[in-house]
Formats: sequence, structure tokens, C-alpha cells
Amino acid sequence: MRRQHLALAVVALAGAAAIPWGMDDYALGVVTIGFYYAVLAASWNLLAGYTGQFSLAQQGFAALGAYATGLSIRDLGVPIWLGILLAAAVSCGMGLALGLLTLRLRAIYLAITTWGFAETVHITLTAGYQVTRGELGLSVPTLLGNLDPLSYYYVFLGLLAVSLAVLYLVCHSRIGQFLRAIRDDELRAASLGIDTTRWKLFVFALSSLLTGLAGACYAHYVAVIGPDMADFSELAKIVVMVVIGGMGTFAGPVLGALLVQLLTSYLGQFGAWDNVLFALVVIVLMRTYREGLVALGRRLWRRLMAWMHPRVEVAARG
Amino acid sequence: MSSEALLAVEGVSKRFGGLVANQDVTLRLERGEIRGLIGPNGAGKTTLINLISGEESPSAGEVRLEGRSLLGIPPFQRARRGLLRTFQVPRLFGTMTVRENLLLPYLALGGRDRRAGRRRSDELLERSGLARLAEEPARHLSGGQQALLQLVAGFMCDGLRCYLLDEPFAGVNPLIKETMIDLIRDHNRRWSTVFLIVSHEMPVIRELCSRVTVLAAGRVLFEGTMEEVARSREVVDAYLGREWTP
Repeated sequence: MRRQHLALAVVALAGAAAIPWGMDDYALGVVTIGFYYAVLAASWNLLAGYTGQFSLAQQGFAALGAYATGLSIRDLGVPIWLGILLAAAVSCGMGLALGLLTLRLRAIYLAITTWGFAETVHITLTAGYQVTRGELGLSVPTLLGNLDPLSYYYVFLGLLAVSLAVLYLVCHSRIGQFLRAIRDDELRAASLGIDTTRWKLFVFALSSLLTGLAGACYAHYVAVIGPDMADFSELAKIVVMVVIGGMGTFAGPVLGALLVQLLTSYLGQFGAWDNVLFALVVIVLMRTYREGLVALGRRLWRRLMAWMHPRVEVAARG
Repeated sequence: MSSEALLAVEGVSKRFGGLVANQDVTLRLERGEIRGLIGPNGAGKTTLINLISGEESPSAGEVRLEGRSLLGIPPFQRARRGLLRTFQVPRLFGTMTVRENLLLPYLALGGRDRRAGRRRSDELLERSGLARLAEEPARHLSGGQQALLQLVAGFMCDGLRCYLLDEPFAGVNPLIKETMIDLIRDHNRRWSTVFLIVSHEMPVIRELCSRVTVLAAGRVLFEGTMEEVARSREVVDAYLGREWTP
């Protein structure tokens, strides 16, 4: 099983590394942003999909990361790499704090509280314009000192690969089993010796850390950031990506993020209507096929294999 | 008392606002004992289980395991000390397979050797008759099978000292009930594990338990063997009904 996963990861990484040949700058930019959203979607999936903590604050942590590096570079004069590290630390710390604050909250109460947190970040960034420059936007130096799309493509591919490797190790270890147990039945998990408090905090911290890191890299890519990074529509996008790809599956959020990002970029002419379109897709998926594209793909694959090797199927049943 | 009981409940009371669920309950279970806990609905049996397992904390009194107080110890740490429980309505990890439901407590309680865990789960799957369902998600099981799996999961724990079972046989068919009784008895014999079993099923309690405690209106009404219980006027009046015979 693990060897298969490793092989799949190598093929995917090699494919992604080779793809830029023959892509124009616009397409490179689209996929690069797709990688950014994939990190956000995958880390939200760790919280909501694997652990059942339906937090609505992910966009807040991306913005915190972006502003942490931007402000520390402008006001403290730290180098970019240190700004990014600070961003990861700030988001991780805030994630831990939010986790502590919401420890005893379930379901809708957790959702409302975390949403409140993200809105607070949004409003603070807007209203604190003396510091953040508000809607005018904060200028941030670019990571590589240039705007070469190909370089940033590889930076974000690397970021995604590292994030996924960390998430994979967590989800496929003992810890991953504990997280699923907490999602399925927290009371039962505790009664069998799982320190539910500790693992929930761990998940909040890790998911915020990765998101803050991605937000910081994003800031150094787009060079001007605004409070709209913490807008609720950003979270909606992340949720749509995860749901379409397959919540609680490992590959789902990545596939969903890339697919949605490609579609929104190339369906751009519909303007705000693409949001309506995605909302409809989500409603239909939740009603009919809650496991998303990954599960659908798995089922089709099994059908295909059964059709190609009818005997194997019979043998497996017997 | 010459030696400390394995599980000691000392003068425990629990009030929910004006409602008194448990009043000055004292219980002492010796190593290797299987104790029945019976009483009418609303007698405070489940509350007592919750107080022992740590889901609720007592308004007064204390619970001790092997002489150590459990005051302020959260449920997950009680589990690590070998105190496990089941729930009246079976609680399982629904999206996990039957086997994963067994491996989880093994991992959670410090089991490191995956191969040993797998061997243990194989053995328990075989003995509980759940082997052919090993790769099914637990939510697909019937009610009786879920109750069985919930019970068996506790046996994955190496250091199980005391197992609290809240209505383990409710709605379970006779065949599975037999399996459960065998497993409980076997584990008790092999490891001297203490069991505290809440049940309304008198024949099963009779078969399994050397002593029973009768709870009524939150208090201990009686404690003794099943025969003594049946002879006690008080208990028969309060709970068993006049026409009941042992």
C-alpha cells in the first residue's frame, strides 16, 4: 500500500515538474495559485475531514501569515526567510489559541466561533489601516526578486510537496487513526485512552502552521496583499475544493483545488456566476455522492478492473 | 479491611441540580470479581458507571483504583490505568472497519508492535465470530454485532484491570449473548479482570456474577449473592416483583 502511494507521489511530482514545458505564463500563474489553494484545502481537510473539526477560520490564518511576514519585513526589517518563519510561528500560535478557545465546542458552535475569529482578522486588517494600510493593500517584496512565473511555479510545487508529505506522515501513522477516532466518536475515543484535547490542539496548530506558511509565500508572490485574503469567500472556495475532491480523503483536496482553480480561471467570463455554479455542484454532490471525486474515481476504477478481469472478481467473491 | 479493593467507590454522591442521582454509594470490588449492578430504571446505575469512568465527577465521595484516587483524573487517563467501559447504546468508530475498531484501543493504550496487535485482533475476531466482517465498516453491523464489537475492543487492552459494562446484553440475540458471556468469563479467569455489569437480564447476571449490588433511588439497597437478593423482601418489593422466583 505504502509503496503504491510513494510510486504515485513520484509520478505526480515528476508530472507536475515536467508540465510547465509548453505552458504560457498565464497558465503557469493559474496552476501556481492552484498549488497555493491545494495547501490550504489539504490543511483544512486535516481539521474538518480527518478530525471532524468543522472550523471556518482557514482563510484567517492565510491572511495572518501573509501580514505577519509583510509587516515584520516592513517594520522590523527582517530578511524574507525570517519573515516567512515568523509567519508560520504566528499562525501556528494563533491556531493553538483558537483551538484552546474552542476545545469544548462541537459542530455548529465550533463553526460559528471560528468564523467569528476569521471575521475579526478580516475587520482588524481593514480597520487597522494605519498599520496594515487597509484596502490600499500592503506591499511585500517578492520572494525571488523577480516575477518569473516558472520559478514561482516550482516554489509553490515544492511548498505543496512538503506540506503533503507532512500531512501524509500524520494521516498514515497512529495519529491519523486517533484523529479519525475523534471524528467518529470523541467520547468513545477518550474512553479508550486517546488524549482528545492534545490531538485536537495538535491538528489546529499544524493546519494553521501550513496555512500561514502558504499565506506568507503567497504574499511574496503577489507582492501586494489586502484584507480580502481573510474574506469569507476565500473559505467558501476552500470548502468547495475539498468537497468536490473528497472530504476526508488524502488526494481529494489537491485534485479539487486544482480542478476548481482551473475552472474558475478559464470560466472567468461568467463573473460571479461561477460561484453559483460551484454552489450547485456542491449541493448536488452532497446530496448524491458525498465522498467526492476521489471516491467516484475509486469506484469507476474497481468497475473497470472487474470488467477487464471478470475472473478475479469471481475469485474475490468466492 | 486487610487489603485495598481493586475498585473502591467510597460514599459517592451525585446531584444534578435538585435531582439526586447517587446518594452515598459505597462499593468494593475485589480482584477477579464479576459484580452485577441491578435496579429499576432511573436508579442511578448509568450515573454510577459515569462517575467511575470519569465522564461525570462526583458531588461528594471518591473512587479509587488499586488504592489510588481517581479524583480529577480524566477518562482517557483512567483508561490508561486499565479502567475501561462500554456504553449502553454501543459507541463505535463507524467509518472504521471492524478490525480498525479493535486495533484502535491497542494503539491508543500504548501498543507499539503492530504485528502483535494484528495477531491479537485476529484471535479475538475468530473467537467472537466477527472474522468474516473484519473489513466491513463498523456502521454496517447489526445492533447485536455492534454491542459485541464494543465489548471485544476492550479486550485488546493489555493492562485491562476493571471493565465497566453498561447494559451489554440489551437487544442482543441469544447466540451473541452466549459469545459475550464466554468472552467475559474467559477474560476474567485468565487475567482476574474485574467486571461491573449493569443489566436487567437476571438469568445472565445469575450465571456470571458471584455478587450483585441492588441500586434503588440512587442508594445501595442491598448487596449479596443472587439467592440472597431473591430472598430479600425489600428488593423483591422494590424491583423484582412479587411473583419473581430465583
